Amino acid sequence: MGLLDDLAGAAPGATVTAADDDLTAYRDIGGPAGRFIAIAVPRSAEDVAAILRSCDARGVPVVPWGGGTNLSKALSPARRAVALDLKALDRITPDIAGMSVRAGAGATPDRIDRALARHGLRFHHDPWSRTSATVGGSLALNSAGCLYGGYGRIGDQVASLVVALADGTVIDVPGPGADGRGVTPATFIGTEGTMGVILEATFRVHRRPEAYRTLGFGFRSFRGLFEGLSDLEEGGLRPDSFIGGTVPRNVARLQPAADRAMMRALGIRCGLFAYFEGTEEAAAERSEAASALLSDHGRRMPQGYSDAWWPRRHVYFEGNPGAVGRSLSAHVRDLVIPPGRTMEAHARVEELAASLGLADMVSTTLFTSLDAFTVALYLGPGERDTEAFRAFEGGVVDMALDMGSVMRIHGYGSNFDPEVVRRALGGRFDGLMAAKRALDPNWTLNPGILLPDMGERGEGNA
Amino acid sequence: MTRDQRRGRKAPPIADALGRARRCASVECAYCRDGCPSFIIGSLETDSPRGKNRVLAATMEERGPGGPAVARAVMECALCGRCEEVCLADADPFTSIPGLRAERAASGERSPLEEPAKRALDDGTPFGAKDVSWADGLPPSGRWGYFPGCNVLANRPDLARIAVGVMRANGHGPVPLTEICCGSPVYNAGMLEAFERNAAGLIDLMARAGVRHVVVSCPGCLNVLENLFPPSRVEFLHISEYLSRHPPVRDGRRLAPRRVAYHDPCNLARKCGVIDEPRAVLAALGCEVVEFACHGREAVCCGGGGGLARVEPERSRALALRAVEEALGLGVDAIVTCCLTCRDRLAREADGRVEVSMIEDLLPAGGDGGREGCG
Repeated sequence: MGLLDDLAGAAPGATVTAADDDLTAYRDIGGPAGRFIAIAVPRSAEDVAAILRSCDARGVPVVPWGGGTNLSKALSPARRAVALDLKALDRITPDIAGMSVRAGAGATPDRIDRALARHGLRFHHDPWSRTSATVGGSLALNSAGCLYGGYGRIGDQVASLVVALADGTVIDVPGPGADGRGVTPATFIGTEGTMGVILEATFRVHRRPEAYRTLGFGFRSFRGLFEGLSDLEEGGLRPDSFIGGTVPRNVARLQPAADRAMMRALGIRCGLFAYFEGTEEAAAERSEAASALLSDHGRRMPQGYSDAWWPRRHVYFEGNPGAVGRSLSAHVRDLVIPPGRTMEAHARVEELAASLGLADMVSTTLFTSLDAFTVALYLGPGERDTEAFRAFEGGVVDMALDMGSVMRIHGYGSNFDPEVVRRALGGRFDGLMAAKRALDPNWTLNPGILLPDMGERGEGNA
Repeated sequence: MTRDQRRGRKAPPIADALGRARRCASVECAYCRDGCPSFIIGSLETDSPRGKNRVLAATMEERGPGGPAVARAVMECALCGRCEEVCLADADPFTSIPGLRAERAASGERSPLEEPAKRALDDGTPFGAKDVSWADGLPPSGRWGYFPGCNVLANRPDLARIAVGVMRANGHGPVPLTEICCGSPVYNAGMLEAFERNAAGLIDLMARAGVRHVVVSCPGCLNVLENLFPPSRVEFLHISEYLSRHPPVRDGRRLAPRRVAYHDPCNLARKCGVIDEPRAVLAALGCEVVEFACHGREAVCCGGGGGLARVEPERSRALALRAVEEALGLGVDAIVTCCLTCRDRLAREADGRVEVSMIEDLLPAGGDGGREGCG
């Protein structure tokens, strides 16, 4: 029996396809041509278990597929594989009294938040991809979001998981079934689908804030921004969320007219949008106090401008509208840099960009927390295949490792050379390899992602 | 995109449509998947706008517009416009998909959308029948016109009677505009030249009648008249907009309150920006409006848009069923909408479990919107 028939027979509720157009749609997101031999869309945990059992027995690798945003390039496996698209597992069950929500791997943060909003609760994972990412994928990367500074990563909100292992065994973590395996949620959170397939998660949730206030400021330099934010930190006025950074010249030229006009009017090249939540009174009070501190470093934007900007934050976090998607694409590295070394990191990035002739294309950003330092390179068509681009990417990675940074906001995936990943994982590497051998001895799940591919070559590699 | 920005849009030439597909393929945002009716039911990347664009970008240049992969990408779309609201790449399927359908038609590919399109052009309606008895005695010319839409003419002429009653009661006895279809089925089929010829005929008809304001019952027709016809001085109003300006209150008494879920038709809410007006009418009628999780500009298609019901009937039904089940979960007395296509699809799947009404059905009896004798 062929693979497709086998999968379709084992998981009758699933959609299983190897049609040309389906493979094309997945291939172009996931990686080079021919990476996927079939696509499976299960509609139940039983379907997932059956598909995994079949693939594991045949030695066919499986790539768990969430929102397909592919930020970590974890959808580009080392061997030909079955894409296990989990988006149909999207059931959301709020437990209002228990202040928690159970969500299928395919549910998006936006849908979960909407389900909670009716009850005055909020889901505290708010990434730029809130309508497109799935919580399964977000957990696999342990991603941050707009509320990272105040509430941490998505993994910090997990109470328990339901996970399917490579051999099709479904376990509760923690809970019955996990006994004796030595696994915890941390085994599966942030390990990029290499240890198991997250089927469902129970998250702790919080009350929705009564009100919020926004604050927009412009600065002449990144230093002004950093010093302003540092003052807020010291003054106990850290915003509940913020994004602040430089706007490269090539992006500035393509920005929406209102944004260009604002930059011109304030004479700035660096902007900050901050968000304060709480009661109406408290949010207003903190916002105004923060404004007073920031005024030493920059100029305040009109309230209406920051109020209009904030609801569109996800689009800006994804990439400046007007630039990305029309003529530029953003290549982003999210680093974790100790705040004491932020200015050094900024200076090194600027120096590197200038030495490669990329000064007009690079932005540095602080995102929801003083330690979340993002470097973005905005490139036009064809500019990616250049020596300068490769040198810049390598230079940023070297700098990050040199400064003790852990690049993990959007995972490792196949973004990095395996040796780079090994260095970045440091002492965790051996433990992860041991866990992989115990949980996925055939190296079925996401081979070559995060950890080197040590698996047997099955028919998936034929 | 604002109502003004949408006016007079044309389907782009094929190169442009492909360029948009390529632009989309270079962005990995996937914002478009959320709420896409095709994706909700299919769940494969290939069913999503992003997936469709990737397939188009990868296959069309090499193999042209024929073949099953391109057919799936361009035919299985409800043209609901949900993806346009969030697209970072300006992929704009509302204009590019019909452009691609046109390319397919030109290359000799047959489509299940052709037959209704030809009937619309030949008979003035894709439904094959029209009841215009309600138009007896209406003037042949005047400032106000009434465009019921082919579906109303064929299946619910009583809605036309109600609309005309309300207009007459307000002193706006309308010119009935019933001879020519707006051309929506023609546009959906990608027969763009025929669409423009048909539009010119209808524009001429309105000009000869001297109308300056046209009340439209069908949101699909309103979308076409307002957004795809060349800009003109004629003001097009949906019946719910008209009713919101002329509240249907009868002698100051309101109807008994009812808890209703209002389903926003895509053509009305997203493409024409008519969101508050139907709710205002419902409130004036004493209804408590309960919202679907996605409503207003974010509303999800009932499955009736863009010819989807003809191309993929099962998916179309599944979408309607999904909306009905959400409404049942909201514990409402009725689902109310402003589009007869939406109503019929929802009513079929509701199968008596919950009432599904047109907003006009809730108006006080008398066919005059509650203003008997005022006109």
